[in-house]
Amino acid sequence: MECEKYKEFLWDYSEGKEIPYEVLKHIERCDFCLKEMEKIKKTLEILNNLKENLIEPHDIKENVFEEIEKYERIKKNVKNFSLIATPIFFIFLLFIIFNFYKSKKTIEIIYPKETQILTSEEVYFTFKIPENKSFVAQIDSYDITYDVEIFKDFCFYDASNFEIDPGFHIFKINIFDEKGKIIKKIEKIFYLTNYKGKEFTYLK
Amino acid sequence: MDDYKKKEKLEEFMNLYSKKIFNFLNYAIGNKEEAKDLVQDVFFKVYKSLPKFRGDSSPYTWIYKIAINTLRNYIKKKKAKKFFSLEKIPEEIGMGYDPPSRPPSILYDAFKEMPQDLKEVILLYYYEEYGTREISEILDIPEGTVKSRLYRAREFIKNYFEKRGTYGV
Repeated sequence: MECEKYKEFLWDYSEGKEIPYEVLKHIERCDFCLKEMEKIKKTLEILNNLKENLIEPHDIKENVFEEIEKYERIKKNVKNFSLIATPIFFIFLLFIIFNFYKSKKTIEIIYPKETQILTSEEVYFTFKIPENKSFVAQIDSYDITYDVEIFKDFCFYDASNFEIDPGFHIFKINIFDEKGKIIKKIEKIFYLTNYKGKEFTYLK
Repeated sequence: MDDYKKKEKLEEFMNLYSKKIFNFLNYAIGNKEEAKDLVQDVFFKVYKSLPKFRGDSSPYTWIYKIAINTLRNYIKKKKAKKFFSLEKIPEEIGMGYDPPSRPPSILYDAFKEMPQDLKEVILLYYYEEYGTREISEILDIPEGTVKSRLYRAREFIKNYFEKRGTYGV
């Protein structure tokens, strides 16, 4: 239908806009388009009423400013809180970093444990060392009962084996870094029974 | 911009535009109370965004963009609520529709059933009297899309009126 392609122009024409002459000629001669124009004009009358009789909103300004006051108060409190909380947070963070770093540097005896039944005739020590760290441990052992030095020895990196008689012993372990500087001192008193299965206990 | 200047500017904008935007939102959702909440939300956002406003567009166009986004979020929430709720919530956003006596309530009824994208365009065109170029700027869509939506919206209303016998045919 020819009218179909002119439909959009009917709105423009009804609103007083310019339309092509050819369309205008068609509209003037077409009953269907003229009827459509009537409907469009009524629709436009209603649509143009949208601007009239607007409702006055009440208390909007007061409510918005009340909301803004609340918002500013909260913002101020958050700012104050962050002034206190930020340094606390950084101190806490430093504490964590320091402890983490410290734990990385710690050299511990991980074998034998605090109380342990030894399975071997010998006592051998295993140290837990931080990654990429080399060290030398100097181990001095004394028998407390007889006040006799049993041995002095060095062990490298992770483990050293010694044969020790039953009794009370003091182990003094100095751990040196590559430059010969003592980085840790460990002093342990332990008890070794003469029973089968050798019970090993650190006393201090 | 300090808080005092921001408040002063906001008050100026509210004096100029709050009534128009409130009525626009009321037409769009058909509920005075909720339109009031929304317009308050719009101006609260305006206050927060004032330092970012560089004046690339007119303040009114800028505020309208905020209003449109607020309206769209409201509709999304409404639809989500409807989706997740077991309660029966009336179709579209016409719940609790509270039309004033003029313009004719049949126009409100048509708006209630009209798709949101068409409603935004027709309200900006006939209620706000924005041109198609300005509407394209506010809605961030090409001008051609605005024109086609405007045509579809007009036809929607005409057909709606026709079905309801508004033309007396």
